[in-house]
Amino acid sequence: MDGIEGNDRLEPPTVTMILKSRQATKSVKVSLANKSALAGAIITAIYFIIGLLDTAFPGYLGASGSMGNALTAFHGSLAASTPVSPLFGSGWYILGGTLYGLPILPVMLAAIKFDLAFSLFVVVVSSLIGLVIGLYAGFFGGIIDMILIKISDFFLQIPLIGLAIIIAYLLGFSFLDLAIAVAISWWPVFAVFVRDKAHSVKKATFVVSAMSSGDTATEITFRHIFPSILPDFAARVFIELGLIVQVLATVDFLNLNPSFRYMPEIGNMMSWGSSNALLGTTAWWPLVIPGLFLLGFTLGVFLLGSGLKRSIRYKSRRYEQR
Amino acid sequence: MMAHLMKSSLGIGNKVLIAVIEFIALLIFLYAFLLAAEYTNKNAVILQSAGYSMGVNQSSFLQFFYFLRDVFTGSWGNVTPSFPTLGAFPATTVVGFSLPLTAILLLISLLVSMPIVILMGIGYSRRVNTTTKAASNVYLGLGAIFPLFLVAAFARFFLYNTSLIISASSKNLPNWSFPTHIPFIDGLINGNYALAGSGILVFIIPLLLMIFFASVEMLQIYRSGILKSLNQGYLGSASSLGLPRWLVVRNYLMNKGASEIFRYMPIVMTSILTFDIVVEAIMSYRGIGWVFYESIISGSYFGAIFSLFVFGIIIILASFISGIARALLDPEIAGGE
Repeated sequence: MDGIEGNDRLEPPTVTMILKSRQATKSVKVSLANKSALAGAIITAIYFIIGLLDTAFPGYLGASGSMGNALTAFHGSLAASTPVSPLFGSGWYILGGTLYGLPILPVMLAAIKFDLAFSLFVVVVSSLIGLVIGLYAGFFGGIIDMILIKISDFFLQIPLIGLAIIIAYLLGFSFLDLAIAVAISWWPVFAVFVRDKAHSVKKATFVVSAMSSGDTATEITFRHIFPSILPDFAARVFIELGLIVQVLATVDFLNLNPSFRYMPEIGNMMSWGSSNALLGTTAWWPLVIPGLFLLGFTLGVFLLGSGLKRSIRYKSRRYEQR
Repeated sequence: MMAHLMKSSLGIGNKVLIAVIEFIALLIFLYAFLLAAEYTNKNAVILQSAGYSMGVNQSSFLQFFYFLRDVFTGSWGNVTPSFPTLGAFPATTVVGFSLPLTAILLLISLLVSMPIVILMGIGYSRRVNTTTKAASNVYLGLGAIFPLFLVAAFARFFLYNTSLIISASSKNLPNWSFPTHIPFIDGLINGNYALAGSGILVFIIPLLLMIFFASVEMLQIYRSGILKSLNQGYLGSASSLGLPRWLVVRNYLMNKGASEIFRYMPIVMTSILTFDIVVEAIMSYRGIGWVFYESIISGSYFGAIFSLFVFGIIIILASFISGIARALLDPEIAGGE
């Protein structure tokens, strides 16, 4: 009996125990045996590798940092106005060109690092805030739980895009400001989720045992309850990652920040593709190709998140059978 | 039945209290934005040009009361002259003109989504895999993977030259119709059938988008309600009493699923309003979402804040109504009858 299988003894499962446990290995195997989850993991990994490569070797794709650099690389001037290049051109123009004479493929690949950096920042910040609030609310219950959850509910009851936009509007609408605004808007999603899980784990034997042995609230929540909810939490993080990328792309697509206009970002690229200059023409690729690229990422993280959830359910069923 | 009604009426008192607290919280929240706008010095010119009508030149404590006065007298400031319709009109007028368009879009999309959710949700009433369940799973998966803005952008691009899309060139025209501001109803009232026809055509794509994404949002919650109920004791008792399967599904599972939707109605409504902002912005459909979007683009702080206020009121109302509906629907709240 090792790792998480020790739920029926008084020792709490630690994060290390969970990661090293036979059950964790089984969960990974179950996830990998699921073809859609495996496909999701591969797709997500490809996007991350592209993002990391572009971060480590900026400019190797011909487009880096700002769109101004990219334009200089290709045309030497930001004001350059050329018709969109057709599909199946030569070299970088294999997927055609978009506005400003830019080739779609390298700009699209360079865009991934911004989308990933944004969503990772938001996920890390909002999940940490949500985790702390959710754990304490779930553990303490009573009036503290009520207050914390009412605050979360209040934030959840404001249209997220609207809230993020207005906070970013006040902060100044830089890339970081928007990330902070979305993180402020997103933490209640994690808080409510963690709170529900923590509330159910609170009744477990090892938590009751820790409470009776005089452990502090912080020790109980972070050393005893958190490891137990970690797998569910990880699955949720992956699912939210895809949604947050969609939020950035939506805000950029709507052109809410003029200073983002020339940044290589998927939503921006789609915005160029559906700008007035191209509306009503047959040049569909500047809109559709970046759109499908974004769809690939959301599909990847969705399949991966679903696969993780399935492996958690498998774990739960196995535990119930025992 | 009488006891049930009494219980519901007692619930109404609590729900009114909660609605009032939520309203106060909404005002404090919006006021915080007003203060933040002052301190971050964003659009200082706009605030000054509004003549400090909201009391931003007073101490923070006093400002709140000025703010309350203005809220209750309807003085929400003007949209900026660059706002692309009527010019520097009061934010209340602009939002008031847009409200019926959003209301009809939300109402019809919710009314159409409900039967779709119920039909697709029935698949989850059995533990075994069925075709309906598989179809519902695919429907949910599509909704989770496809971002709304992407679908809306594709629709706008590929249908641009048709009568289904409001063209970008008409963006600057003050084209709100009278008396209801809903073109297809006003067209019928005034005998202007061309207006009615075009009003219906430009309504179709935003409506279809809203129905799809709203039904996906609700189906997720409906499904979780049904799946939770499948393990409840009263379901087994009902079956063991010899009740037919369809009766158990109708009386317990479907009610529980619908009750879950009402339970999470504020959050559902929030998601739907988020969809509304995106759909209206992309489709140039002149509801409140479009006013909010154009306010941000044109730097019209008051337009944006008043739009958020109206969104908040819609959510508080939805929360209040859903609380009552849930008390009537949920078999567990209704005294386990």
